[in-house]
Amino acid sequence: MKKEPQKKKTPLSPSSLIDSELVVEPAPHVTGQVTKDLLMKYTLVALCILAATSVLAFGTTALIMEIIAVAVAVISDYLLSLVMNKRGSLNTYSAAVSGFIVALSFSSGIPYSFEYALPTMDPIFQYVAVAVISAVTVILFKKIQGLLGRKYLNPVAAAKLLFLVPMWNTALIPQDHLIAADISSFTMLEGALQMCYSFNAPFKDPILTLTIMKNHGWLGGASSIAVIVVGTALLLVCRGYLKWRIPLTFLATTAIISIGYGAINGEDIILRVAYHLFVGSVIFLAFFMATDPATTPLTDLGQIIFGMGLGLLTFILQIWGHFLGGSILALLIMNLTVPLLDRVGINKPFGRR
Amino acid sequence: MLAIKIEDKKEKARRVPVEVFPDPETAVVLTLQHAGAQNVPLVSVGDKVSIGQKIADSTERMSAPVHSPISGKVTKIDDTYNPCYAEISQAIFIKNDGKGRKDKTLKPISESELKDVSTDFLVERVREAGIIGLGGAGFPTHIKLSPPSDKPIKNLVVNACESDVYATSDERLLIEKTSNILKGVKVMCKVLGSPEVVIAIKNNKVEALEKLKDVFSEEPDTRIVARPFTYQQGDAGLLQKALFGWEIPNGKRSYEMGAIVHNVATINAVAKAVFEGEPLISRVTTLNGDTEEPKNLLVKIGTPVGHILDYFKVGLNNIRKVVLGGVMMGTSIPTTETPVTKRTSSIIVFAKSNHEPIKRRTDCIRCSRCISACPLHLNPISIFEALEKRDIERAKRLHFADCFRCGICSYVCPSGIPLASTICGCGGLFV
Repeated sequence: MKKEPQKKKTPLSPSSLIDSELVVEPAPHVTGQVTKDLLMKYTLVALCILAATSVLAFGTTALIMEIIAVAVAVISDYLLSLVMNKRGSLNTYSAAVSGFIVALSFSSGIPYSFEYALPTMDPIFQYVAVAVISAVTVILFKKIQGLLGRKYLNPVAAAKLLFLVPMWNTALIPQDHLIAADISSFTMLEGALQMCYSFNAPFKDPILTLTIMKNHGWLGGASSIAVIVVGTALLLVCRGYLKWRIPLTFLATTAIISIGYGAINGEDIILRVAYHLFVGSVIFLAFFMATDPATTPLTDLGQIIFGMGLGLLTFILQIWGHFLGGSILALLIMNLTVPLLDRVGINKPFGRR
Repeated sequence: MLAIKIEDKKEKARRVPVEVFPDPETAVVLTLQHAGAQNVPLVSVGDKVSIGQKIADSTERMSAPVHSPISGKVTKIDDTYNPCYAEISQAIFIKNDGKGRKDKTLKPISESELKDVSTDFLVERVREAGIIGLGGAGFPTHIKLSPPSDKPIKNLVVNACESDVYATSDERLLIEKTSNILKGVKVMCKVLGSPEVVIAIKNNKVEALEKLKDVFSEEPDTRIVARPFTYQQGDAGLLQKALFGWEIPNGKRSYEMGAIVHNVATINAVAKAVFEGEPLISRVTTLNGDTEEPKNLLVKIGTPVGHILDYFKVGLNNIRKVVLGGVMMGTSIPTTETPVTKRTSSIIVFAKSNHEPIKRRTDCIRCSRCISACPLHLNPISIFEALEKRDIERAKRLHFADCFRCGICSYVCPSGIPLASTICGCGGLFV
């Protein structure tokens, strides 16, 4: 049933085999120019721009982390292609994108304790961490998961979560997010913002910090504005091939829920919304991880439900799970619903409506 | 649905006038060229035949006879490759004697006689002339011209979109045979009871559009719709959706909506049959692709493709692939002995030197592009996965048999998955 285009010997009698060199292939005999690799190249360009913003915010440490992550991913992919034959063929661009996202989804500049002196993470630890996550991403969650026939979990999110597990000191509270764990009350949210964003931050105003430049949190989310602009541009360039409904519904749901939450508690709604929308783990994940085609639903309705579920789960994990980077866990949970969501909202064919 | 731009590559060929291609030494006339019942040969080996003589027919209604394109002797009745069905089927081989004897069974009528002849006469004439849908589907035209009497036809759509890549044969007919097409439309209007005529043409066929406006300007109840029709809208069902906004319910034919779509080449053939008494023994086809000069040829049906390639010195050594009937839906032939059929709208040559596979087959990335691209709103990748797992029930629930093999899903797939060929390749097996 699987017919690769291939040379076929003509089944005719020898007298008519004068020019049997002709190749028989199934239609169509022309093809579009968009390939998987081309999509990956566009994504790489977009990620490079975000990498530049991360270097502005976090310094050269960020650059080194990105280089390490991409290098480890590409090398792992290459080594695996030598070991596994057909199923694990070389997939350089895809691996590079994954490695890049590993680095850009890494939380940096994070205080370890409640003390105000802000010791950023040891750079060496960060380099080792991204290298390990990057290798796990490619080997375990891309190649080995790929053997199942399709990917169920977002490779980067899964690898990152797996890495965080040993670092948890209480259930669902990753150590690197301990400082701002409880943001359910507004005072705590403000305090968290104060602590996380005021040290060395280019802006004193929390809204500007959140939208324009922050030096805490996910490297890729350093500048929320940049993520939105670059992400939207990428969705436009690859229109048709990337699932724009997911970031849109994800962010819209997040905004609506946080407005509701802020209104019920009588808080400063703008700051509440700005926090939940523009924190790096939401804005970067919305545009660059939640849109990973392989682990998201096929149908339009499925994608909308996926985005809404992602928004809801992320909010719950942030507020009541005290897991500020909770979007990765939310993403993995929603990933598991994809086989179900794929069966929702299948179009009625032409003439059957 | 996002529009998909497919480069139509017609710029050179659309300016090349139709050239009459010399009769072949040996004509290979396939007995089954239409969609429908198998024809039975009416001649046997050794018989002498003349131009336009009926040589195979069937008693079934859903059929169309075939005729000898040349005068000569039947040398053998044997199997050959049939590009209409991509399989081996029966053909009648006729050796040309060069005498040009003509069969006079079909008497031409003059234009003034048209109002006096009966509808039945015209429908019978169309059937006897062996006319089928020349756009590629090969549906017998006389059946489309005799809808049930309780279904009045309000619209006759002249399909002049010719949306397939490279093909310019219809466009040249529109330019060179405009008055013939007008005559054909008049015949059809008479048969169908004066419906409104809608001529649908892609607006980049500038010269043809001018001609049409010129010739059809005086006609009552006629409108020309020039739009940037897409490749998929060349299909009769999708064209009606674009023109009138309706979707033909599944399992129903277009006459139930009160509209009938005919291709311009078919209409031209009807005019020839009625007013010139010539059955369908030749057609215009485009020779294009990796050739030095594209050609539009009036070629006898039954001419081996190799004969045409030789004539224009298209070196066989450099050819990788020859496709008959459009690069999106056509068949690539295993041998150049394959004859031109009624449905060969184009002959596209692919050179070896020009061959670079840009898409290697990789795993599906589930981008869902095929789903948003499918003009029938099917779910190609889910159907493909169901078929791969031999889950025919699921494939049926996804209505895989509705596919009309436009090939768009394979075209857009970034992972090079042969979606269209798998889906329609299985289509015939389980319906």
